[in-house]
Amino acid sequence: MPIITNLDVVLAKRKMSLTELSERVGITIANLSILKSGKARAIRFSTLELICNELECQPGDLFEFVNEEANAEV
Amino acid sequence: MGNYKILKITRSILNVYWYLQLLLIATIVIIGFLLFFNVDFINLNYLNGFRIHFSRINFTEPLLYNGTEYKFSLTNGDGRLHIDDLNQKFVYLRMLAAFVHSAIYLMIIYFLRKIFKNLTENEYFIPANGMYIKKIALSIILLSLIPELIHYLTDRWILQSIQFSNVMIKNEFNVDFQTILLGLLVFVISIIFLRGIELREDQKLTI
Repeated sequence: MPIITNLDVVLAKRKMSLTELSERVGITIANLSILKSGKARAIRFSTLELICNELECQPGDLFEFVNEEANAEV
Repeated sequence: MGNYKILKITRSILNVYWYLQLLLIATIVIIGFLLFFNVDFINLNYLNGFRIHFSRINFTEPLLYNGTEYKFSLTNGDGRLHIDDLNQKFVYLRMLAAFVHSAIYLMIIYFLRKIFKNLTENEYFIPANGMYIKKIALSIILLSLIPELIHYLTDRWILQSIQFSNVMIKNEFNVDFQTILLGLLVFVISIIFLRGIELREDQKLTI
């Protein structure tokens, strides 16, 4: 998928564990793991809001678009 | 619990049907081989004849009614054509049609058995079940077309080889639209089923 999640990077910068984030935002670790591993198909705005609020970041910090086709050509 | 029992019973019936169908196919193959080595193995006079559709059969003998003679005929019907000492080659095509018919049935039973196995293991909405339903749909459509096509070609070959003076025979490709519609219905159900599984996955992976 061309959308890459940088949740682990943001968490590392904040020195916060996934368990801690899970407890703070009230989302199960299983669901956060799905998001972190890039297996998630979609994210609700409400979830995004909770995570951004807790990590004090922008949605753009959490996600990155990588053009796979352009990369493959290079 | 009640549903589980029904599933198990249906699965057992399907298993019996599966082995019967296998036996039938094996019989067709064995007879085919025996015919290949010994042409006189089957006496065509004992066969049920070839299925034909006729548009008109004119009877040469008149019909007697109240002392008066009338000409009479049969029109638009189906029947089985019996010919003594006909070339045995026609039998191979009939056997091929029977083989294809049985093989497609076998495929349908195979996929049904797989579905019932999953259902008895409490696996209902899995992509494999959707794929099996889709394959069953395609098999049903094939079932209505392929054996009929072989019948049509065989009849055409037979009719080109035989001349009738007072019988007009029709050689039509009869498409069984009801079966095709049934196949299409199952196909649509399979697509909806697969889409449902996809949506459930989406729902599951939405954070």
